[in-house]
Amino acid sequence: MLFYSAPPFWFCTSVCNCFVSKILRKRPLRLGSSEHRIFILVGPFHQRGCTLDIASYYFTAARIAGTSGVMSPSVGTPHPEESSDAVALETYLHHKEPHNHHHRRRVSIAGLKTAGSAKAGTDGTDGGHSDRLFVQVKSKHERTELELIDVWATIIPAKIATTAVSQLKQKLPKDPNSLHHLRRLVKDDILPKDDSTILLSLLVCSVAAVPSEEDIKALLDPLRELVQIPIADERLFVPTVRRAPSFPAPTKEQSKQWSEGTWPIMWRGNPHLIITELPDNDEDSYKSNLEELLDLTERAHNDGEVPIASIITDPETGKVIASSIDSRNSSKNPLSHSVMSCIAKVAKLEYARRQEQAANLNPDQDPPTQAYLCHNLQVITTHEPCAMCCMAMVHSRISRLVYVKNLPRSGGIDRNSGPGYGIHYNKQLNWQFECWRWNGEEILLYDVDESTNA
Amino acid sequence: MSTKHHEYMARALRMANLAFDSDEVPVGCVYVHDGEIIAEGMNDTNRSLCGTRHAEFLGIEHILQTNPSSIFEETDLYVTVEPCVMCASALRQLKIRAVYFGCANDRFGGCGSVLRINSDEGVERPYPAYPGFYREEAIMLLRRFYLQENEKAPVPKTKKSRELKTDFMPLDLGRYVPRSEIEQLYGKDALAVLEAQTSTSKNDS
Repeated sequence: MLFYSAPPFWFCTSVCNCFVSKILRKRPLRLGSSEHRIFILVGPFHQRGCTLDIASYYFTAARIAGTSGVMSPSVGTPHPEESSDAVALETYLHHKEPHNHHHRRRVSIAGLKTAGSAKAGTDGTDGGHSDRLFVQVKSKHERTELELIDVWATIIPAKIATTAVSQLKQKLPKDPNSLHHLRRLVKDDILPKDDSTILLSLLVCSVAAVPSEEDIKALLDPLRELVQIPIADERLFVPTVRRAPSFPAPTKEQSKQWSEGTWPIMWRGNPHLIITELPDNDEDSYKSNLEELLDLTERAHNDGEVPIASIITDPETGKVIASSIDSRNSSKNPLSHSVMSCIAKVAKLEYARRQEQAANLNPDQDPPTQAYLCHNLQVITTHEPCAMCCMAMVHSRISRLVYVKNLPRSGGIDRNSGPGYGIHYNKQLNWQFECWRWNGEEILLYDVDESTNA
Repeated sequence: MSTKHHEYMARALRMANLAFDSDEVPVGCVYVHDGEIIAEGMNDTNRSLCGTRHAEFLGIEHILQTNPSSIFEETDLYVTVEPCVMCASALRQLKIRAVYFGCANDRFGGCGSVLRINSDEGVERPYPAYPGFYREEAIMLLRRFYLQENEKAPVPKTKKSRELKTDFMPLDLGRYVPRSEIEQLYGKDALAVLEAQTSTSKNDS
């Protein structure tokens, strides 16, 4: 009950560096460090709502963590004249305000390892079983019922199949339906089995790709010239409409079922069930990006902003093109999220570049042709972006998103966040991007309210 | 039927026309607070080179220059095209009171067409989004714009997309508006049409 006796007061605790993250979640004011210990000044009791509950939370958390007795909580009154937290800390602890905690964090990120299977299954999210630092975030698999589309098919002699397919591929327009899950050539029941010449059914394209029968005939007729010995079968090279599953089945059994009576599916496994991996190089570069992000959130926190930050990088050069912290507090605009600001910065840079180019009137420079400014750029951010920022990334043609922490109430990515939008993977939208989430040991992030839109 | 909603939407259409004349995708909007238009916006993505500079955002920024964000709780938006997922989410975060729009946005609409950001479960309160105000005008502006874009393209597309279509698919009101609100806003006839549509589609399946 010591805590109630002398308000206003501060309390501090020192714990082993590796347990700081647990305690940090409750918004400490300052970090100090000395040798292998970090001192946390939690705050004035009455101002930050540090109730006894929270105080005991720190101490219990630290006690659980500090099994070797590294924790020693202390309570005290700050010097009444001191206004700054840092000076109060110094006065109280007789320690100097550290200048090297960024460095300390760098070391800690670089040394962070995967959380491994310890986390598996506990949060119900993707990739709990991965031993990589980042796991891919896929949206919920919404389409599990068979849907059929119309496709054009015809019959060709097996002998010319390879040539015919390659010739067609050159001439066909881009198909609005993905047909990669369907067999291209099928030996099926409608074909006579007694004939010496083997005939195959050929999948040409979806009816949506080439709606007119005349156009399909025009595509198929040249194939007749490939046949050297004439075959008397009037179905040859004549287009017919068949029904085919519009997307691959989620399981092998369903794949078999769906193929009955429709155009058959090729079972290649379900990519949604496979956890793919980022190459080591990528993981390393994201780790260094994360260090920069931590410095940014530190700044945001000290400036009274919401401690969320983002950067945009160009994977080809490895360079950071834009970085930003969340600025909704200072701008008084609830939409000044860090991802939005980064995208706006990229546009401004390009705008300035074009202005300069126009002013110089140098015709030798690269013509500005890139229609979408963030095309193939990547966003690395601390928290799962909200639906607005996710869609901003779709509009800007971002190729990959990497983030540290899920925001289960407001996020637009994870299937367990909010209504499970999975905006990065929504096939109805005109762009999809890859998404990876940090899977390693817990990173020192400042606490963000769970209902915050990042 | 002409209502005050149509009056505001006419102003939004004016902004869309301005966007058209500025070689921007023709989308325009106005924000209405206490019966007064407090901000206008038009698409600005091409000029600014920024894919997020939608009409809604320009209006929002204008309002926030002189008002606290709490003003949106008493503000309605009139926009010629259904807000995209990004704008729909932005409007929800601002706690907008209601959204009235012209035509649906099948490619990335966030108020019922692709996602239902306005009414899904979420952190902030949901808001209603009503379609169909000067819908055909909004569609025709978009068609004219894309036709012109296509003509400008280095390799013009097929002949078919070079014709200006003037027919309209019927609006599926039931997709966007709860049945209980249709009669009040769209009249008895609209409700009857919707009921006829649903009964046919039930018979079909």
